[in-house]
Amino acid sequence: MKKIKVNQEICTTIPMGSQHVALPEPVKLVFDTENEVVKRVSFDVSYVHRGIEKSLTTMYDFKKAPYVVGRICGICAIAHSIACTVALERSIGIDGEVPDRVRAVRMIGLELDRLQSHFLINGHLAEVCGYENIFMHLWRCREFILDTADMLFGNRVQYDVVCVGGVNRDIDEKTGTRISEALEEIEESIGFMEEVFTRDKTLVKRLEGLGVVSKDKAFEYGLVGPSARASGVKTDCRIEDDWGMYRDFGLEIITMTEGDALARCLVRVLECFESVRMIREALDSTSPGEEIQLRVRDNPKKDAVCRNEAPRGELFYYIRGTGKKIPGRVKIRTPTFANIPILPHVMIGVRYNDVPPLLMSFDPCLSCTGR
Amino acid sequence: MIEASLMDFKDKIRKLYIPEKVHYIGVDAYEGEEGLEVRYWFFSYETRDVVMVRVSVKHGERVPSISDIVKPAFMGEWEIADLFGIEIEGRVENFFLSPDSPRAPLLNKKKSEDQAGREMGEK
Amino acid sequence: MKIFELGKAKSPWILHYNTGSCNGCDIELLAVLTPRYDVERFGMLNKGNPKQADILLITGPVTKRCRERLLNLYLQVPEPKVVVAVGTCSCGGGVFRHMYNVENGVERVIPVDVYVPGCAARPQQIIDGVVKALQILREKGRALEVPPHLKKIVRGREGGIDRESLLEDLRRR
Ligand code: SF4
Repeated sequence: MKKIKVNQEICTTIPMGSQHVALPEPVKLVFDTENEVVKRVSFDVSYVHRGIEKSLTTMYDFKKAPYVVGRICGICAIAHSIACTVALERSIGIDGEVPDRVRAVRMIGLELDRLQSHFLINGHLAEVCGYENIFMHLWRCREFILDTADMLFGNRVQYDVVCVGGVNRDIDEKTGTRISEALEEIEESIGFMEEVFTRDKTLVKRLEGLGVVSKDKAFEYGLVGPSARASGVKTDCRIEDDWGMYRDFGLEIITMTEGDALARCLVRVLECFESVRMIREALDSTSPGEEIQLRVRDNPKKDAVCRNEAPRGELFYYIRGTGKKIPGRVKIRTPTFANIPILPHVMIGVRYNDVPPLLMSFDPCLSCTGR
Repeated sequence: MIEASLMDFKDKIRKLYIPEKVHYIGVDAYEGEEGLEVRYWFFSYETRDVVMVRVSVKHGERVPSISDIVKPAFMGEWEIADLFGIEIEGRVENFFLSPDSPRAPLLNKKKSEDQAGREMGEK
Repeated sequence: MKIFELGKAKSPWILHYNTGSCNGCDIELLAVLTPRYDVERFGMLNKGNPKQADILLITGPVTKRCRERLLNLYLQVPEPKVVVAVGTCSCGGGVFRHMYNVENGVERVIPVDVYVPGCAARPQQIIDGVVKALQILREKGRALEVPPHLKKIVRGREGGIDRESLLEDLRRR
């Protein structure tokens, strides 16, 4: 990192966290500011370090792993579960045999999760901009998505539907039609969200040009997910490492070129439309009643990796199979972990009151980072 | 997979890593029967392959940082420095652990501490 | 006296602290504050300031780094205060039990009054827990209002002046 000269005498140090209204999670950021302009940032992300990687190699066997890794982060729980199961299946050697219905159900789960996560973060962003009205509206709309998830998987947040070799629950005919109805409602609320983030003058003015990340910078710092796509980096792990049927359905990668906070928001909004389309395709492509669980007889024996697209970006799992019930090593690289190194750089030179929206536009998830 | 030694792994990474074409995923360590090793993961946008650079390290050996080549690498390095007790240049003490947590928890010990704790809890 | 009691019962302010949970319960907590479940009808507001809070909502199994902060926050909240542990992992560790960096639940660090289990705890459960916490808050408040050495004099009752039982007494006479 470049050393930046900071005049200690005229600097004011403002700590933010570990407990703060704008942050639902504990993280500590310390800003050195000079006349409200941020000159230096340091961060501490370790408040949520629990030691899950270790427990996967000592306490829990591989069949329990998808449920344990779901508890890394409640917002993108199913993304973790899927990445873990896919890596485990590759390690066992049964990833080719997974039925299409299973892939479809997993896709529906992941896309529902993405929808609610994008609603959540855009609402939260509006709140830290001081726009509580939109926060309430978006969270009201988010409840429709959670209702759908409740109907499908029996829980609002932690679905726990993915298991090694399949899924635990199928979607029957009746629920399928009810979901199609619910999707229309969801699409309507996405339209509302789009209108807010494109037409509302206050929000647009506040977010436009805030924290610009150029395409080169995005490549240099290895940004992932919507933050990278907002800077014009055409990357999406759903296409690059396709465990489902995304390539068949022709998933479109949405990119923007501005690279500011507003672009990051809009990428998320537009992705929501794409997610709804993916759910529809997945529902139509297969029919219920097919086999939904494979018998798993082997233990993980090979090294395997999986890259999955969580709502926040690339999620990387590496599993070292040793032929025993418990894997030798599970490495988890979460999306926020890749997005944090750039934060100190974009924050320098920004006024202090712009820091919360800027931080939120990167959609940080500290539970993922700490593990 | 690229095998490298502590002497030349930086050159190999420099040759491999072009920001527009290769995406840096992360860094990881592993302690197996062959000893400790540090692994750097990359993803190539062109071939859509995950590439691993493997460096074997002895306990207590000093590993140079690659954050002059790969800018975001410093966080992952601090992490494995904490969790595996690897000496990496520019590491920050207690990046992930707190002062009273066990040292280098991911290294294999005779009986890991949380297992011992679990057995105690069951009794 | 009465007006304070009324004020406290009708506007308990919430302090939410995440001690290393998975965010699942945190987003449910936030969902409780939003229109569908709308806990504001009980007068609850989420305030970030411990000095103004009455109810502490804690999620997470308490990581080692969070322990001191949690204790600190607890000490900063003025009496009377109620602690609600939301989620299985804050009640006793849940999946995180016996991992090397956690303390196995909030009760190991600070006293807990209401436990809300569930992984993730549903909004209905959280509301239920918070309403229970309100009752406890009221009782604690009453116990505080009368200094301990005067308790015996005030009609010889534990817990100070109880309006209902006073009325009942009057009716009986
Ligand atoms: S109880 Fe479960 S859902 Fe809630 S914070 Fe803990 S692990 Fe997450």
